[in-house]
Amino acid sequence: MNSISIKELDLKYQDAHVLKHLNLDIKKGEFLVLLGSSGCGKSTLLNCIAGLLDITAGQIWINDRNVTWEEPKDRGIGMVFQSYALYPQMTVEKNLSFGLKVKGMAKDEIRERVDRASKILQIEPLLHRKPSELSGGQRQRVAIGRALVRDVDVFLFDEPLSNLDAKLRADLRVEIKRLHQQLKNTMVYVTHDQVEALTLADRIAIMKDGEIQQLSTPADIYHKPCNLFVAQFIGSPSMNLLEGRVVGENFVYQDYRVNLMGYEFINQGDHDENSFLGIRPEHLALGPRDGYVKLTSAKIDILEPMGDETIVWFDFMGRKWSVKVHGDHQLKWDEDVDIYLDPKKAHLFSKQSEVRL
Amino acid sequence: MEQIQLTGPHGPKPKKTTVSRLGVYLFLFSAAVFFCIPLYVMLITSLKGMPEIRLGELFALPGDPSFAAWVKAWGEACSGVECNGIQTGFWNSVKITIPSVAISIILGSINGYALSFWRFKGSNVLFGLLLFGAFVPFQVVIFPLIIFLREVGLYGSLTGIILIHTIFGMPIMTLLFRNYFSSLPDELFKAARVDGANFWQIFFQIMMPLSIPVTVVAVILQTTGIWNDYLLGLIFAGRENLPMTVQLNNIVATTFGVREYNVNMAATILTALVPLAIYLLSGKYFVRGIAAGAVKG
Repeated sequence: MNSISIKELDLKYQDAHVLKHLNLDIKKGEFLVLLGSSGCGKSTLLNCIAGLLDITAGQIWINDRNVTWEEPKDRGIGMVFQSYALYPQMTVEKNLSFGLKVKGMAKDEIRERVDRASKILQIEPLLHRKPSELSGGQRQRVAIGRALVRDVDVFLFDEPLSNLDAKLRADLRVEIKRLHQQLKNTMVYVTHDQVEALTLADRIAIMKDGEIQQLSTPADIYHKPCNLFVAQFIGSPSMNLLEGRVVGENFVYQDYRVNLMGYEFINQGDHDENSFLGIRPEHLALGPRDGYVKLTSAKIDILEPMGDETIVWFDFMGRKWSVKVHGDHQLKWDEDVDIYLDPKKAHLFSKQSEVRL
Repeated sequence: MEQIQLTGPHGPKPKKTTVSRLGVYLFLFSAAVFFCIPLYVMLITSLKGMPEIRLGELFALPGDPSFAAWVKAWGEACSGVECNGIQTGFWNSVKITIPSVAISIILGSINGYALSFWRFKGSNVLFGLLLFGAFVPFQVVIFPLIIFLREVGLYGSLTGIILIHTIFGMPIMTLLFRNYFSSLPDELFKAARVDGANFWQIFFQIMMPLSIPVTVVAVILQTTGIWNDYLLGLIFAGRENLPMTVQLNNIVATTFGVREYNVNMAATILTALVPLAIYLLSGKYFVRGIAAGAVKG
């Protein structure tokens, strides 16, 4: 059963086509993350679902009800914003109860709901403070509370953690995940942070230029990116690329050939076309390993020690390549190393259409 | 721990009085004197009696200060044939200013709110037209306005002059409030909509309480503007409702009998007292309000 269905959604401003024929089904209780760089239309899509933007064409269904023309308040949604958007002149308690009061709910019921939400979010001691007296993390918790008291099935998050510092972001991320496991609501979460997307999502929709590039589980997106854009977007440092040609079971570049034994082609059969070979930094090694094939020898350009691991940069075929190795590795700048690659973990993309082969 | 002895420059940089700083103080002082002298002359003249004034010692302190001229200016000074002092004008000005200020601010804030949050087709054009209104010299529209007010039967009435002040205050009030509301985060408005609040609920419960700083600015601008108005009051208010400024002119410009400079000065100070008091009392909020509007909500 679908919680949210978006059908043939189009949004145009005067000259900009922001969302293009978008179709998306979100299951009940699912945590869906809309991921993309700024300007890709992810926040716009969320605002359309909320009813805060008028759409040009298409339909939006929430809980099997066509809400395309309905007001935000009638759609059964709660929304959390990046800037928290708490009402500055009201106490936390008033912030939480404002929507319910506007609705004309009985006082006892409002009390009950505010109590329940503040208990879940552990903001009970803050109820009589004003937003200006709260820290960033507390404010965002209150903002989540404001969605919580509405007792709705669908939560919409618009980059809720982007204004917080790194430590708080990690803490609150875990809390949001816990909240989802506890409440089991449908959650749609917009972010440009791939770590948030990978850690939180049941499914990720990666967007670019108003279109969904890939809609899949985090594991799938990471290990089987459907096109070059997704492959480059996810992962840090991003995937290494090599331009060449797929010939049968081999990838050929210049005079060299890499045997692709074990690579799962989407379309079996004879391949012979210009393409890119992509490989993530952690699927390269500085020495022979089981199942790995040698790629090249290179001189270390830059070392980035990060404690648990070290990122080794080198130049290869006119591009910057990176390898992730264990932090214990003793390496020196300018040292010569042999680079080995795991062909089973490689990715091949057509040069022409940029889709996965 | 042992204290390490530092040599060379350390700690805060010593403050020195430089020539340029002295120059700044000198300029500020002379500017202050320049603006204070007229006020000083007015004040001491109003406290003198006529024989003392005739001596022509403009800057001399009064030998026997008395408020007699003030009392006369307030209650007995003559403008034309009536000799009720300037108090009639004062109360007329109060009756004109309070409703005009209140109505123009309420309407201006609603306009500004609608134009910044509830964008509709053509809202920018409307705003442009309204702004254009702020730059139309009002001498141009006086005659049509007289005809219009005459036709609707409001010419020369209190309602008429209040209506005129409201209309002329609208562009600047709308601009002020629109710019202020535009500086508030858009997400605040979205959050209120998701919470289910309607146009008026968002305005009264969310936006109004947030616009206190800009409202203070608006009150100052409108009160001083309307209180100091001369031309509109003279033309539209009618003989019964002439504002204080017009009556002051009538008293000062009376060519009948002896010119009582002390009474004229006292009447002038009385007229200027309201805007002066507003600036002195709210100057702090004025600056704060303008700054708050400029930087952030």
